[in-house]
Formats: sequence, structure tokens, C-alpha cells
Amino acid sequence: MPSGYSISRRQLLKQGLLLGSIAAVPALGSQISKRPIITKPIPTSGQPLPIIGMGTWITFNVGQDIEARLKRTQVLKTFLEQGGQLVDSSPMYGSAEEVLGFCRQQLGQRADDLFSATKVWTSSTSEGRSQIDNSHRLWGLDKFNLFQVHNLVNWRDHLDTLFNMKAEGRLQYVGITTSHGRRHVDLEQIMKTQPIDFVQLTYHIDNRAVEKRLLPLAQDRGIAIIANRPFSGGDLFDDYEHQPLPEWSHEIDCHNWAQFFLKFVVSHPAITCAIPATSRVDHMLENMGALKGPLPEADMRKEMLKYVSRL
Amino acid sequence: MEDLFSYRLTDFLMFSEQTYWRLFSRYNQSIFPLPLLSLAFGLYCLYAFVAFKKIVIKPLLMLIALAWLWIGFRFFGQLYSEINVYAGYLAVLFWLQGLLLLSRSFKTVTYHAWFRHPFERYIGWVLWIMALLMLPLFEILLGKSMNATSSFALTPDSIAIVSIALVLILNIKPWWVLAAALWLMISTLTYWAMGSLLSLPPFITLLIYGWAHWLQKRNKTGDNPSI
Ligand SMILES: NC(=O)c1ccc[n+]([C@@H]2O[C@H](COP(=O)([O-])OP(=O)(O)OC[C@H]3O[C@@H](n4cnc5c(N)ncnc54)[C@H](OP(=O)(O)O)[C@@H]3O)[C@@H](O)[C@H]2O)c1
Repeated sequence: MPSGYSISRRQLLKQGLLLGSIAAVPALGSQISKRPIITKPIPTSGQPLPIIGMGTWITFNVGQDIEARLKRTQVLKTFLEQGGQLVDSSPMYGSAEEVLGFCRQQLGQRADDLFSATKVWTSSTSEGRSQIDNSHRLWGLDKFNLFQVHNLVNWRDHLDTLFNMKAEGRLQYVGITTSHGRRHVDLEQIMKTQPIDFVQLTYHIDNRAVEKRLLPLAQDRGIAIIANRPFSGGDLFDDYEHQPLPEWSHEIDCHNWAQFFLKFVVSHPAITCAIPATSRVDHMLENMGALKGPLPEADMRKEMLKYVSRL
Repeated sequence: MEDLFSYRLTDFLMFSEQTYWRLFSRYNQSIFPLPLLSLAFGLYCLYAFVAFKKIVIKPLLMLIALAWLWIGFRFFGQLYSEINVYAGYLAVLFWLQGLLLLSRSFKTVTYHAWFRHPFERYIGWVLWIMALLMLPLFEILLGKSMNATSSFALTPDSIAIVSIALVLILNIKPWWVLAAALWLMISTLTYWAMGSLLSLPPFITLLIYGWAHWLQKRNKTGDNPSI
């Protein structure tokens, strides 16, 4: 096992995260592929979550542009048809939340299975509350599945607000986010001391800093992990796409680099799901391919790392 | 602090190049046929500069100032603010530049400006032509659709280039268009973060602006007394 995998079998079993225990359920409304999709349980509830979600940074920030909004509706429709559920956004992403609300409205009941995840992002506590109300309005939702404190901003007060909402039944899960490897020491403290359900952090094949402490800690504490920037914001394609995929990649059902990168991320036992962002239907189809077929096990993960390090 | 250094320019870019370009085509469509009129006006001014070597300065400065106010209101206040949470600050920057140029136009004592310093004037003309033709052509070359190109003196980069051209042509103090230089810096960085060669026109103009400052210091010239 790669370094940082010093977790016991008991811990893995506790969280139901052994690859063998991954639940397979049929893709929701999928006309395209009947293969089962891979889910992992959210540790605090056991609720199964498809391992590929969707981010909206940049890609869904298209303002009032109706043409672009309709294109994003197609992207979301494809995501849902392929069995995806978790959609992540934030008030920091310009018009992304409003555009998501538009797409949801266009898709009607077809968007009912969406797992809504957004954030609160402001240094002011009272503004945080109105931001939360605003997100409900923009998405057109009465209740979110997941609210996260964005980049640890004013996290004490916002976590209070969110825990209260959860206690009152107005929210299902509470989480906190960081990215690019920032503020890991603070995040570790929060994970040790706060009863959070989710942590969102950056993890991809070229940035595995979280493997050392945060991922084992999440397994220990029963916290779901969302991996953001699984393509390093697209940089991984610039770095590797011109190179051939290894021949053995078909063994884990990877037919393009997107699937290779994503399967590496979500095969880590501590990762609950990855949230790649795209503005394109063809890219969405590629990404959602990683939701099906076998996941690499520890030996294969080592091979994957060895292969990209040689390129 | 360590955190701050972990940010890259691209981390601040919250929209794609395509989305930014779409903003321009929506803006141009919303003001059509104004872009055609401003193009004709720009061509006429160029002809007047070259043929008569003088220009009706007060109304020209006023028009340019109004364009700054308009772009601040429509482009930044209404359109760009849809995709950039900081667009409001840019709107204010444009209004300030508009007000500055408006006040400069009130200061003019004569309607006709006579040009001095031929070399600076020529560079000013080149910038004028850049805003008029070279910038839109360059944009088309890099894949922008016709209707998304920079409209002469009606889009942010274009009005900034035109304003700096005027500084050189009329030999007025570069301080009068400081906000234009600030915008060009922001525009350069925006396109740079997108990895687009469209960062070149604002960057080159910025260099010329710096050069205009240096020239003014060296020649110890004040504002053109004729205007
Ligand atoms: N602090 C935080 O809370 C935080 C920070 C960062 C990110 N996030 C979340 O994580 C999400 C993902 O991160 P990210 O958007 O920064 O980066 P990412 O998902 O790693 O990469 C997105 C880029 O990859 C490209 N791409 C996607 N699928 C592709 C494919 N199959 N082939 C080729 N290119 C492809 C996209 O371009 P196309 O549009 O052309 O496909 C886009 O440019 C964000 O959207 C956001 O929701 C949260």
C-alpha cells in the first residue's frame, strides 16, 4: 500500500469502504448504459452516494446567457442520466447557483435525484445566514442535502448555524471545504473536534498530500470525503493527454485519461466521491464512465502512479 | 501569508474565455447599430487628424468621457456583474475615468487642438488604428466571432486604447487617463490567466502609456496649453 494507508481492516469495515463492499445500484434513468454504477456510503448515515459528482466552478458561471444556460442544462441532464447525483456549488462561483436553479427547473422531475451541495462563504455571520437563504432561493430548494463552510471562512460561527439547521431538520449534512492543500493543520483540528459529515479537499494523482494525515483521519472519524479539483483544474490533461494510456488501463475500464484520473481518486478507500467540473456533454460522458466498471485496487493504484511518474 | 503565495493568477479567474467572449457579443447585439456608427466616427476622426492636423477637441473629449460612463454602467454594471462578483468595482473605475475626462473637457479653452511633437502624435495614430481595426481583426484571428469583437470606443479595451491615443495625439498629461491604464493592466492579467494572446494589445498599450509618462517627464511638458 502507498504511504499513509496505515488503517486497519476493522476501520475500513466500520465505514463500509472496502472496495468489495461498494454497493452497486442501477443507473437512474440511464438509457445509455445499463451497467451498474458504483456508490459508496456516507459514513454518518450509510446513504449510498455515486462516486462521481459534478463541480460548477467556472463551468456553470455563464450569467443570463440563455444559449449557454441551455448548454449547461444538457450537461446536467447527461450527468443525471448517467447516474450522477452530487452537484457542488458556492456563492463564490458568480452566477453558478442561479444557473443551476435554471437547469433544475428545465429538467423538472428528472432532477429530483440530485444531491444538492453548496457552501457558505463570507466572513460575516449574519451575512452567512442571508447567503444560506439566498442559495435556497437560487437553487429553488426548500432543503439542501449538504451545506459546507467554504475554505474555512469564519468556520466556527457558520458551523454553529449549520448544525442548528441540521438539528431542526432543515439540512441533511454539514461539511467544510478547502482546496489546493491550504490550511490542512486547521482542517485536521476541525475534523478531530467537530461532528461534521463531510470534508471537501483537493486530491488528484499529482497532489496526494492528504494521504498522509487527513484521509486516514477521515476514515477514523467516519467523515465522508469529497475530492475537488480531480483534474487539477484541467492541468492534468495538459500534462498527460498527449501521452498514450497504459495498455492495462482497460482492465479497470479506463478508456481515456479522464477515467484514469478519476478512478485513481475514487479508488482511495477514504474518498467518497470526486467532483470534476465540465462545460461539455462529451466530457461529461467521459467522466461518468468512471462511475462504472472495476476500480483499481492497491497494487493497480501503485502501477498507475508509477506510470504517470515516468511520463 | 504562506496561503497567499499558494494562489496562482488562474485561481482568480472565475469564468471561461468563451463565457467572457459571449458577454461581448451580447453587449454588441444590445447596442446595435451603435458599433457601426462609432466605427464610422473613429474613421472620420482619423481622417481629420491626418488631413487637418486639428480636431474639435471639447466635444471629442466629452464623447469619450460619456463612453467611459456608458461602458461602466452597461458592460460592467449590468453584464460583467453577472459572472464576476467584483465587476461593481470596475464599474466605479470606469465612472471615475469618465468623470475625469469630462472635467478635462470643461478645462479646454479652445475647440480646436493643434498638434505638436510629431513622433508622439504618430504613435497616437497607431494606437487609434489599433482600436479601430487591428484589435478587432486580431480577435477574429484568435477565434472570436464577428459580433463579439471589440467595438470602437464602446468596449473596455478599445476605449482605454483610444483614450491613451488621445493623450499622445493631443499631448495632454497622461495622469488624465490613469484609470484607463489600470483597466489595461486588469485586462492584460485576465487574458493572461486565460492563456490568451489577447493579452498582447492591452499590454502593448500599457507599455506605450508608460513611455508617454517618461517622455513627459523628460521633456518637462505640461498639459498642452492650446487645450
Ligand atoms: N475550496 C473549495 O471548496 C473548492 C475549490 C476548488 C474546487 N472546488 C469544487 O471542485 C470542483 C472541481 O474542481 P475544478 O473545477 O477547479 O477543476 P477540475 O474538475 O479538476 O477540472 C476542470 C477542468 O477540466 C476540464 N475537463 C473536465 N472533464 C474533462 C474531460 N473529460 N476531458 C478534458 N478536459 C476535461 C474542464 O474543461 P471543459 O469545461 O472544457 O470540460 C475544466 O477546465 C469545482 O468545480 C468546485 O465545485 C471547491
